[in-house]
Amino acid sequence: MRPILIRRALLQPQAQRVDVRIADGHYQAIGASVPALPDDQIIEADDLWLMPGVADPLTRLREPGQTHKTTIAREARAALARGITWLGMAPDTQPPIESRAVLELVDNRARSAGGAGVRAICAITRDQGLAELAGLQSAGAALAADVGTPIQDSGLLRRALLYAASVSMPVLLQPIDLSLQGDGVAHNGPVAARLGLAGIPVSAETVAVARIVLLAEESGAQVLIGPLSCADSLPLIAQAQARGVNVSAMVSTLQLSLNELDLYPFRAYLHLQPPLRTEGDREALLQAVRHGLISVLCSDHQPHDVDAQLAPFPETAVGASTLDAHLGLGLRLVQRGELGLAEFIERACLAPRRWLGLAAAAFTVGSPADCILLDPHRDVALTISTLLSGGRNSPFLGWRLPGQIRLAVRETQCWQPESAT
Amino acid sequence: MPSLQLSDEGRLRHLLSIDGLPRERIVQLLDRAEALRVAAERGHLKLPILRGRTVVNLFFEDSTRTRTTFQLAAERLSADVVNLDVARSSTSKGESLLDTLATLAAMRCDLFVVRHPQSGAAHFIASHAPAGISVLNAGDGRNAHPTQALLDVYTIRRHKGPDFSGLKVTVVGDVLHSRVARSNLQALAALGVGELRVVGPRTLVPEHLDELGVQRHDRLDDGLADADVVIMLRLQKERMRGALLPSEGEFYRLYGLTRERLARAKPDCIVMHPGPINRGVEIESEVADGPQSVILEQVGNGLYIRMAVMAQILGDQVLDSEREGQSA
Repeated sequence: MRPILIRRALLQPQAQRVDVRIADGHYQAIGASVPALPDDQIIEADDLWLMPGVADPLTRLREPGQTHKTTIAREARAALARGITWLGMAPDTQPPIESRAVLELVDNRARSAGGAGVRAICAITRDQGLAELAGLQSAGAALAADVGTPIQDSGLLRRALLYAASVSMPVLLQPIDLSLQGDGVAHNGPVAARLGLAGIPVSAETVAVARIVLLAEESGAQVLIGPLSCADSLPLIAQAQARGVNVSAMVSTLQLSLNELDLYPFRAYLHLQPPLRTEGDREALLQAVRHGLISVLCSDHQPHDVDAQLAPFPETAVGASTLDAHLGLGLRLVQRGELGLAEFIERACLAPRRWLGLAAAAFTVGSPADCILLDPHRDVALTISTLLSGGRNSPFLGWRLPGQIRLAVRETQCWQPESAT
Repeated sequence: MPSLQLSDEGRLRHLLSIDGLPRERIVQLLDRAEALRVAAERGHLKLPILRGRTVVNLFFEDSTRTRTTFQLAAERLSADVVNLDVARSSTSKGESLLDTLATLAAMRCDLFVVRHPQSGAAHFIASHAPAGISVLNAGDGRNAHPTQALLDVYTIRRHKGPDFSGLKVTVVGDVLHSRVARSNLQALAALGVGELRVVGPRTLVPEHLDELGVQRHDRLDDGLADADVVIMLRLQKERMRGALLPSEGEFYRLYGLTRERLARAKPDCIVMHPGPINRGVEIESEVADGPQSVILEQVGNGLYIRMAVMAQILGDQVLDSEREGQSA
């Protein structure tokens, strides 16, 4: 990797003009004016924003076990090209990341992949019992998660949280009461009523949020709840936080960008859990992101192969492929004035790192380089041929999203558009 | 959002749902059905309208009744009919839904009449159908059953006249799982019905029907007061999963249409049911067989409606042949 000298970029969110030289995966020089060295690749960045790379704390990378959908390597490379320098990988692979063996396999794949860094998130339970959280922690897991089909037995969940607290392992919990979700495939609202789709009531999430918040309180565990979909979940979390419970909240950029009306009629790739809810829910979630009640943004990326989605709506696989759109959706919200840039950077680039056990992305001389350079005035068109992820099920096909990436760097991994070098 | 059902020139290419079908289209289909009925009453039972065309009944769900009606409708229009019983076809051997379709399309079939257990199935098939192939939704999950709604409003029109604005229509039963109910409510709303009411236990009636201007009632007596039309729905055991009702007996006690209950409606209220009826569960035999019941007439009307829809979808060039049939 040639040394790179970025000139006069607008460092965000400080809105400061800065020169940065990156060499050997580190920031070698940062200042108002850094002199060029003979070997430097110079990027004139007057029109460009310089930001920490996005850290996406919840993605499915399908390896091991479902590599017909995609692979760690493919997603890691796609991520970097989309401005995401770190991925948190959910443990519900086949087999799940509930043992050191699988964790090490994933780590090896991630290291040889290049592109974005991948942090494996381990499971909380194993075979109706507890996973070896301490062992997994020493093998590198910084976060444990219960997502997809979460634990329904309250007693087991309580013990798991007590144990996680004992070893100081933070925990990500997806709030779903499966008996209330039933065979629902869409929000239990006017759209589902009109289309004859089995509905998922709000209580499928709020009952689970209430349970999680109360058990977090009793156990003393550090808990991240999400991804959320309901406005009614927010007061439960706010009240718990006010009582001093160590609970935080997360939402996906997809939930902040669409609502149930986008389903009509039977639009493919929007069979989601949690489902898209009303516009009122979306606005409440956005407001919570603005004010920090929701402190973490994710993509909730769930890539699928083509066949998984070629069926009537209720029979399609759950989840949307959102890696390609994640950063763009965030910038779109910023452009529309629905979210401040500083808030977006904090929730999408900085806060997730703390949960994934990553070092803060500091712009200081000597720190590992971890940043993106983007043109906020140029759009990216998402089409079937421009998708980088292996997931074909993007609900954003045909959209133009702001923020063309001109450079993405994670230590010695570097991505630029082909035209650049 | 452009309608999948209408071609660029505004022709009816598919019939997937009443939702999104303009009022004029609905009336046009009712008028066409009426013309076909008149032709039949004059002895023109079989018309050459669809000669040379192939209609495929693609039923992923058991239904001898409905399939027979569609088959008869197609044959009365002189079409060739193919019945694909999916349980025995290669689809059950794992061939994907779209592959089944592509195979049939390769054999130059013009119209697929599809019944499927999942909501959105007809829409899915239509959105992948090659040019020149049309889809007629014979019922998809709980979503839609447009020809049933058309024959129901046609039946109402024959008894109450074309102006629905003064009518009070009550739908009773398992609306949540009923594609018949959904399509009927949409058709009645499109035709400007005066008052739309839905009666049933809250476990079987969706909350969000206000879009269509529907009033919900927990009690049958309230819902039947001064009604002009009552549509009873079958209690669909196969669609109910889990505890939605304690028993059929309790349902009958609360929502069964007995003579006594029917007396709350107007004296000339007509009693409808999409069939097959569960005697003693949603309706008393004496009511089902009584003077206010139009249940059997609905079945007959269904034939003309289905003929009208097929004729409409497969081409307007048929109009001339029909007119010949009428005047002869």
